Amino acid sequence: MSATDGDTSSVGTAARRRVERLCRTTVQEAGVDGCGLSALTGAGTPLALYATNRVAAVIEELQFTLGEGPCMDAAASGVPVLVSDLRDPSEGIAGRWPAFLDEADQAGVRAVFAFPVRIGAIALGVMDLYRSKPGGLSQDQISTTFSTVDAMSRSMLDWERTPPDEPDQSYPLTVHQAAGIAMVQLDTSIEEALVRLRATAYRAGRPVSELAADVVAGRYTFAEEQT
Amino acid sequence: MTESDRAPDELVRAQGRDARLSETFVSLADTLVDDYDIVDFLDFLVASCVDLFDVSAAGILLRDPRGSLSPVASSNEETRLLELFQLQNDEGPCLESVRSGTEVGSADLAQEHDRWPRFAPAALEVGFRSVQALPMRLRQDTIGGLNLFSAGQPPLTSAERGVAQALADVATVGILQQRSLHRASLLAEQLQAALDSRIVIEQAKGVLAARGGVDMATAFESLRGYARSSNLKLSVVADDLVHRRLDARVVLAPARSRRDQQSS
Repeated sequence: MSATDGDTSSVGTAARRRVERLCRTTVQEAGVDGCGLSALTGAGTPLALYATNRVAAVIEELQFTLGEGPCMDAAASGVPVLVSDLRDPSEGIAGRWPAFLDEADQAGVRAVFAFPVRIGAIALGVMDLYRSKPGGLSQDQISTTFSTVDAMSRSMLDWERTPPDEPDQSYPLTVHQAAGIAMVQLDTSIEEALVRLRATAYRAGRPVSELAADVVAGRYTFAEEQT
Repeated sequence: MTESDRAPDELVRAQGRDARLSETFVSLADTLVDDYDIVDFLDFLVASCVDLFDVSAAGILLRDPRGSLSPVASSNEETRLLELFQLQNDEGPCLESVRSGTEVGSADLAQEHDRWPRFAPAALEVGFRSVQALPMRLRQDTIGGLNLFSAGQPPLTSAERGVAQALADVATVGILQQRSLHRASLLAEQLQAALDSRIVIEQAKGVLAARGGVDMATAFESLRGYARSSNLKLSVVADDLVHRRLDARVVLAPARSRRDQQSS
């Protein structure tokens, strides 16, 4: 396993830069005032990774300290939580996040949109967008944010461990099948299995989809690698 | 086409089908009440298409936020078929159908090498002779397509294509009905939810395939069989498997004993 741990510092930095760029892109494309990203730790608590400005950082911190809010709900449910006006009683959130609403209001936040960052069963984190004025996201803004979240999921897997620079598109389904197979062969988690799959492809200088096809066809097994 | 235009045997066949068709619409409506799972719903729909139209395989592709087409349901989970669906990101009837918002098909794929230089040979290699792609449309947006493949059967009649389009429309409504946690349930969210569910299912298929030494089609059958007999959603069973809350051997057990019985 040490082969993957060789040159992680520069890789981690590249992934970090990419995550930061994706957050800034989101602010522009979704027409929001700020964007923050938290990783989910094993225990399910969010850990703030990056925020485009001070208010976005406050939102990330609040949810960690209060243990409630749209980010927590998005993380728990796996679906986006979109609140276009935090003061609107018809949103039905007053009873759900009393402490968060109070603090967010003081910080000047009026609308929050929390998107879970995940790859199938792999829950990586949550991306939070905010506006200082009320107003929902348009269909196009939601679509473009989903697209960014998809790219974000790979960058978050890269965070400290594996290589960047994959083509910026969704994985074919065989990659997810191969991750499931690798999980059993390596007796590890699905998260680690996907990381290993990608790291192995990277070391071999092959596209992930190509190695995945070999894994699914039984031409490559991960057990063999452990010598 | 009117009833009198048809040959008598075709009429009998059509009448039997009409009865099954009504049942299908009723079941689909049932599935649409409150807490349903989009992948289960589409899985039922593609199975119904194979049954109703006497085609070899049916599949549904949805556009993801990037605009690529992703398979979310397939009547047959053979990897080669899923790859055929995926290939249509570059060329093929589904891509054309989604782009134009109209139905696109071919009665003889052997004649289509110039039109679809990669898709046509790949489909023929899997054993398909004809294909029909129907758009899944919501107002001006086309969110995906329903694909019907035939090995040797005659191509669909225009009446059958009309019925298939009605089913594709029901599927579109079904996707749009799905509720998300918060009330602002928008199209992009619903599409994303369907695609996310599909990814978890693929991960779980991998787990089952590796644990049971079975192929992906068998892995999916086990998953579906277990979900149905336990009255659980496919995506819930898949998520439990991937997180080891559910033992793969339990899910594989019935399929394995069935196969052992057949071979002995």
